[in-house]
Amino acid sequence: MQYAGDPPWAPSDSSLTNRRLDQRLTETTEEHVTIHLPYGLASRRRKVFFCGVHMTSDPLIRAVDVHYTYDEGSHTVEALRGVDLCIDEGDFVALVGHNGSGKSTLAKCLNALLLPTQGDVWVKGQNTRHCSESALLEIRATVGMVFQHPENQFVATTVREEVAFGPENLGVPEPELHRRVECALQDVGLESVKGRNPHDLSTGQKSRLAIAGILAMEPECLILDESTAMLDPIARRNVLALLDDLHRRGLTLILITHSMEEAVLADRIVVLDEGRVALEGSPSRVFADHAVFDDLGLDLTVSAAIARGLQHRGLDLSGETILTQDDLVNALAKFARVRT
Amino acid sequence: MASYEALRHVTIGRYIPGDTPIHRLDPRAKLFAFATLIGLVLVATSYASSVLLLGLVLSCVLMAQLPIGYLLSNIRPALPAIAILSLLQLLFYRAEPGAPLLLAWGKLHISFVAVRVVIVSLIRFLVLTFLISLLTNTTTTSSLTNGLESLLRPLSRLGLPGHEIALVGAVALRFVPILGEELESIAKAQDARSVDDRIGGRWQFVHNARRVAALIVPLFVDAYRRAEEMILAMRARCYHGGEGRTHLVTLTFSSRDYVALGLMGLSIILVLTVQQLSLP
Amino acid sequence: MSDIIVRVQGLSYTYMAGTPLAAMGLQDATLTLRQGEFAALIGAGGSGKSTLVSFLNGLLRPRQEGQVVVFGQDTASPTCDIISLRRYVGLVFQYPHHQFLEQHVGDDIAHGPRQLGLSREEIRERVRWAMEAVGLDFQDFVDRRTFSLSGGEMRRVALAGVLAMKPDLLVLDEATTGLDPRGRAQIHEVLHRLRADRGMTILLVSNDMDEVAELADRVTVLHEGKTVLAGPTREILGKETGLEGYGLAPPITTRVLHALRQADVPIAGTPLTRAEVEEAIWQAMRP
Repeated sequence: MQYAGDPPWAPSDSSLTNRRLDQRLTETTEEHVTIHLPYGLASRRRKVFFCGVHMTSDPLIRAVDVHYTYDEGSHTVEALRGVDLCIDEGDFVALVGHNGSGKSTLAKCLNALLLPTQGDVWVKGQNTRHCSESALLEIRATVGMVFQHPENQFVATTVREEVAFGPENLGVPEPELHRRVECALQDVGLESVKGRNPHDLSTGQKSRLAIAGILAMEPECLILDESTAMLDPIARRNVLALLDDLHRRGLTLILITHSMEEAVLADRIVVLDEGRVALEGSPSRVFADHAVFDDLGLDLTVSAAIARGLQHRGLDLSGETILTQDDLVNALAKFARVRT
Repeated sequence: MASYEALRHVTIGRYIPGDTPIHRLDPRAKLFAFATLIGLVLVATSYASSVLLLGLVLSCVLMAQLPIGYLLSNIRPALPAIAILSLLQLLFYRAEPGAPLLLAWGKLHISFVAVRVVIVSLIRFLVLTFLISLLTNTTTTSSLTNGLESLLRPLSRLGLPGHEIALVGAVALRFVPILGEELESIAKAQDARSVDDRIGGRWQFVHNARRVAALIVPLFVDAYRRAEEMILAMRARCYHGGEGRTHLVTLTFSSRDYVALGLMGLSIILVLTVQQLSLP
Repeated sequence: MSDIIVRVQGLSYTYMAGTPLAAMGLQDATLTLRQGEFAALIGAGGSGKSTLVSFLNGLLRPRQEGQVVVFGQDTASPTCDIISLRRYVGLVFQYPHHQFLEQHVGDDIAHGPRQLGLSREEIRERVRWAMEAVGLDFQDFVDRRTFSLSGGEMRRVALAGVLAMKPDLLVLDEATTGLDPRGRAQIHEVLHRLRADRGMTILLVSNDMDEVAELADRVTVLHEGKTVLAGPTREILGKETGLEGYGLAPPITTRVLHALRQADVPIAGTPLTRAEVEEAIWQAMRP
């Protein structure tokens, strides 16, 4: 597999020199716009590195006709076959689909870990296929990504140093670096274990640490690639509550998941099938499309399945959109009231 | 039974949080002392000098408040191999003719020199594992990489990728306990499927070799998958080599470090002197 | 009672006992399995579930406190025939590739039967049967390499490898965790059939309460190495409260029922599975 960008041990002409980075940092603070993100406990300033790009009308991420083909030596695998997708600032999008539908590949294209073999991805107006090494880093800092197994992502042997890894790579100087680490740890509620070894944390804490490591880069968008799949119920609930909190504070979220119960929490569901977007829209719209939905072999949420069963039996719930437990309970309570 | 847990005993590479003089030392001082002591281990071949060295290292271990049992547990998985090697060395060490014998029984000759070689080797092994533990259990990966990177900086002018070498080493150490746990899980999963009680006799050897191969393949597949995911995760967090990186942990060489290096110098002289005096 | 096939009582186990690294694995764990039942073992991460199942086929044996009797054999006893025990108790682990012993699917599934000294035809028949049981096409899969399979296929091959021994007790240690809904549904289907056709006793280790509510008759809850609850699934997962303290949450059906009752919609009985809940709501609301 070939990942975008040069490996770190490639000749240094493609990577940033110390001087250039310093220069860039001072430049941005002096000349460029700084916007206040609504999330962040202390006022977090997001530095906008892109020169001459007006982001007001652009979506945060735009993917147009994205194809991606893996070269497996003897044969090629077409993981993505023409995906169009727009992610706006403040969106909460759930990306669902069976294994092999191309979810992870798409996610890696959205933060330039992979470059489309055909088609384009723009992040804040910057095309991932035609940008400098420094812009590539900026894209990855803007669109942060958490993977499924936190254990495999940890580089450092203390929680604090683990969180610092991202901003260190970005060349964030002191005391800003310390502030970011403290803020991120506070956001995920891990201040009390900051001196511990990540290896010794519980599974739920490990997931939150992985998220903190990305938050410290002050991203605008967070992609979670099946990060809740291996968690036990309470740990999962905590991580979902954390995500909800971050979203409320303005962070754009892309949640890749197998669980429809999680997907309906999003504002928009995108269903991938065989490398294409098969269905897209608000959860209620996606669930309403019975024919396509069933055809894709997707699960309904438990509440939606019960509601559908009741409707088949002849209970008239047709005026209601039932996705979550609350929807079902409200609809049935209303039904009972009307009847009496 | 207990053999499944053998690899849990390996604690090399696990950082144990603490706030002792050893923990607080600058990683460069620690790395320098580490390298010097390793050098001394190679030089110390007499009883007196090796015991002195062991004493020095032990006092550092005590100062770092590392439980001795914790460090000793590293040796456990290697005990059978050590025992066999020691025995072979004891039996087949060729002392010079006329060397005083401890035991002569038929063709079996065990010389005092052989005994010394074996005991000194054991002590050296002990010192070596203690040293590695001492370094990795009291130093976080970040400061270890920072330290190594800064020591290797002169070489980077010659084109040697100091930062990368340091990071690879640190990450490799971090994976030691993870792979240990993985091997435990694989051994259990495979043993659950082994129901043949007829294996034995001369085919035992073939069987054992096959078993090791069956263990190694999934371990490598997993290690490779983990490594791939780690590379991806590092890139996702904007890793692009050592250039332009800032450091959360800044290295400051304090008076404590100079004192430590001074003590280091004294101990070198001490061990070398004892070594010279005790060996004819 | 004679139909009890597994009895674990007061079992405690410490990893690396007697070293400074000692870590508690189990502390007073209890587990009873009856012939033919579908049981579940649940608990948050680190509660000792995997440690406990390692005792069921003698991978671990009681060294400190407690007793483990499986199919009438006390595994602590030096005369216990662990090898024969493994034929009766099949363990499927969370990571299927950990238990592969051969490179090709057919060979791997045949690994167990071959050790039993069966004839070639019998071995082939068993492989065919096991692959059919897990829904893998014999012709299509028998010569594939185990490491080239997808996650869901690997799980089914691992399951087939265990089934080919025709065990009386099948233990699945988080064998559906991390699978996509399709892969998960396939495994559930296989378990249903094994139970219906062969009356196999199954112990499912899981932290998906919805899955357990649908499948299991009886549940044992582990918390920090100790058995804290055990009983019919309906009793344990049918309550709205009581599981949070153990890092678990009731299944969605239970939460829906609870919320409905709070909203003064009277639902009779103690339905638990999706079908039961639907039926109960229908009975309460039918025009």
